[in-house]
Amino acid sequence: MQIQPKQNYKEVTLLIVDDDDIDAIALERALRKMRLLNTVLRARDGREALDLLRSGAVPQPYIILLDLNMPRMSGLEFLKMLRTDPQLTHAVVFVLTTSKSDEDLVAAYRKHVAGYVFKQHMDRDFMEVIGFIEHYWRLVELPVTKE
Amino acid sequence: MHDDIGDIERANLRFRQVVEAAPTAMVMVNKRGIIEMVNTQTELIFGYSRDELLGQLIDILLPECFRHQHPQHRDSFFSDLSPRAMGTGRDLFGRRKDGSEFPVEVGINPIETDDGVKVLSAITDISARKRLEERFRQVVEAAPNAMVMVNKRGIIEMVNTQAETIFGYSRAGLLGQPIDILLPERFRHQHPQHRDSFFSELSPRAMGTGRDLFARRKDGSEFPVEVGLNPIETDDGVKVLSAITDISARVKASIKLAEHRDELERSNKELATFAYVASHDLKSPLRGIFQISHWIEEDLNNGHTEAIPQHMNLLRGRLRRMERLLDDLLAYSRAGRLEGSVSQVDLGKWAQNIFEMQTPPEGFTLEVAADLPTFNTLTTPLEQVLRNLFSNAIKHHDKPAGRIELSWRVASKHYYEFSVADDGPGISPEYQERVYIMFQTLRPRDEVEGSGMGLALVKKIVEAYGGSTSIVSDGIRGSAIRFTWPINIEERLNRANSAEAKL
Repeated sequence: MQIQPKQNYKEVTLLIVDDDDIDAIALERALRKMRLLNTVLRARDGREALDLLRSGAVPQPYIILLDLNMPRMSGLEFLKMLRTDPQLTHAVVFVLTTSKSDEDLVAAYRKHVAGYVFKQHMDRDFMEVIGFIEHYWRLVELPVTKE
Repeated sequence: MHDDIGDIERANLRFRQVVEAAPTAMVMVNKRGIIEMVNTQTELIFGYSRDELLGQLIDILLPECFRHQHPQHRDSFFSDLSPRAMGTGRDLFGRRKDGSEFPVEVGINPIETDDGVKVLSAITDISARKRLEERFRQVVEAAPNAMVMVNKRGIIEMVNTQAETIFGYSRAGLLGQPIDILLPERFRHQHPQHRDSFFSELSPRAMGTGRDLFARRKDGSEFPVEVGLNPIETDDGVKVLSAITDISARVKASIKLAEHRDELERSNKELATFAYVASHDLKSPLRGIFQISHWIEEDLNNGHTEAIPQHMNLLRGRLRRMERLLDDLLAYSRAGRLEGSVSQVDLGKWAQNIFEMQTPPEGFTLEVAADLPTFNTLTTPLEQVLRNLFSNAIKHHDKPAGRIELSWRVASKHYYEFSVADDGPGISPEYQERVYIMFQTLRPRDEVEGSGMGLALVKKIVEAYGGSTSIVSDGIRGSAIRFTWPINIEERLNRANSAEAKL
């Protein structure tokens, strides 16, 4: 799943945390359509994502695209662990979810997510989201911690 | 001498004046029972003139039925001379000239005279008081709840018909008995203390505020009551009149209400979960299908036909997932309601059958304990429980071969405990709570197809029959799901019904 980035791109890694294969494929397809060749990593739940991050397998800088409803460790539980981990607390996280629940939304922002995106429209969304995130990483300086 | 006689006559006169002025009827008789003196009150009460009484036997003032005993009582008084009330414990009656009778109270005093000992009786007409007492009795009798009057020593002196009814005693069985017979034994030792404190501070109040009160019927059964206490002043000292209400019906109603409230809360919570789930878990396969259809379109347009069969597979997978979610949701909503009928099962053979129905992959076996019981039970829910546990054990196994074990023990008087153990990957303690939640899975559905309903369903069914479930696993290797199941499900159903009827 790792694709070598071209030189003229900022080497931003995308970490997709989503249990649904279709959503993961859709994101990758959207990236490909926009000819973005960033490194994309995938975790199937919060637990796996934490393990990946802690093992240092996710190259910095990175942006986390987080689903909320997942087995083992949900998105909100993941955020809680992330923010209490001094090595990971700075991470930039966008929530991508089908949950329209106000509680989920408030709870996610309480954990300082950069944005909460509701996956309402079935396909178009991913293009828009990826387009938006591309702008974001072009404009915004992302944190990089020293090892 | 002359002066002496004068003195005596003056004393006599004064005595007569005192008797005359007395507010009660006064009658003096001699040893033979002959009336020697009466006052005006006597004339008024009995309706005789003074002349008609003097020189007559006292019997003239007694109802005929008492006359024959009277000389005897009189003799006994003369043999032990001291002032006293006549006829303690008996109701006394006087008889008027017109033959009518009326209740009286009589105090008797020996009087020494020159002429020998006489008896001076003070007679009070207590008709008015008796009427009041009777009215009080009628009021008590007419009260809608049980009334019991006790004296300071806790002896029952009066009860009404309601009291007979709710306690199951006859009136005769209650009067003269200690009030303790109406209390459950475990409360009896405290009661004298409570009674003393009531008598030391007399005011109407409810008994045992803040405590639940119970009364005891003649047959030993108990029932919840509410008791109001009232001090009653009588000639005979202070009594306590208790009004006792059987509140079984109210208690039953409030228990029912609480049950309904709990049930409502539970089903509301279920509904909230359902709404959340429907918006996410049911929608997500739909979104997937929609997306795949776009990919197929895109890939066809771009001539990338090689990816199409893969898309189609994914698409059909989502459709199956959707169908399964809907089926399991329906099963869950019906759990504990679809009971089927009670029949006898030989659990060992039956469980083996259920296991085979899952068409387990080659290499998976079910070991059942040799001595599994044969018993009568509701087969439909128990089958659902076993089927889900077996299918979970197979589905979540991480190796091509696996061994599932069904064992049992008697957990209590009313419950078996069954255990379905496997040698799969186990469930780590941190996830053991989560697996019971509707639609929660521990692995992505794209890896292990499952609705996440299995254990939620098992738990719901088991709890519907008063049982409980637990998970034993170290999260490294193997897990056992234990659940309790009624030994005699018919008795349990009856007990549930009769408990309802009794309350």
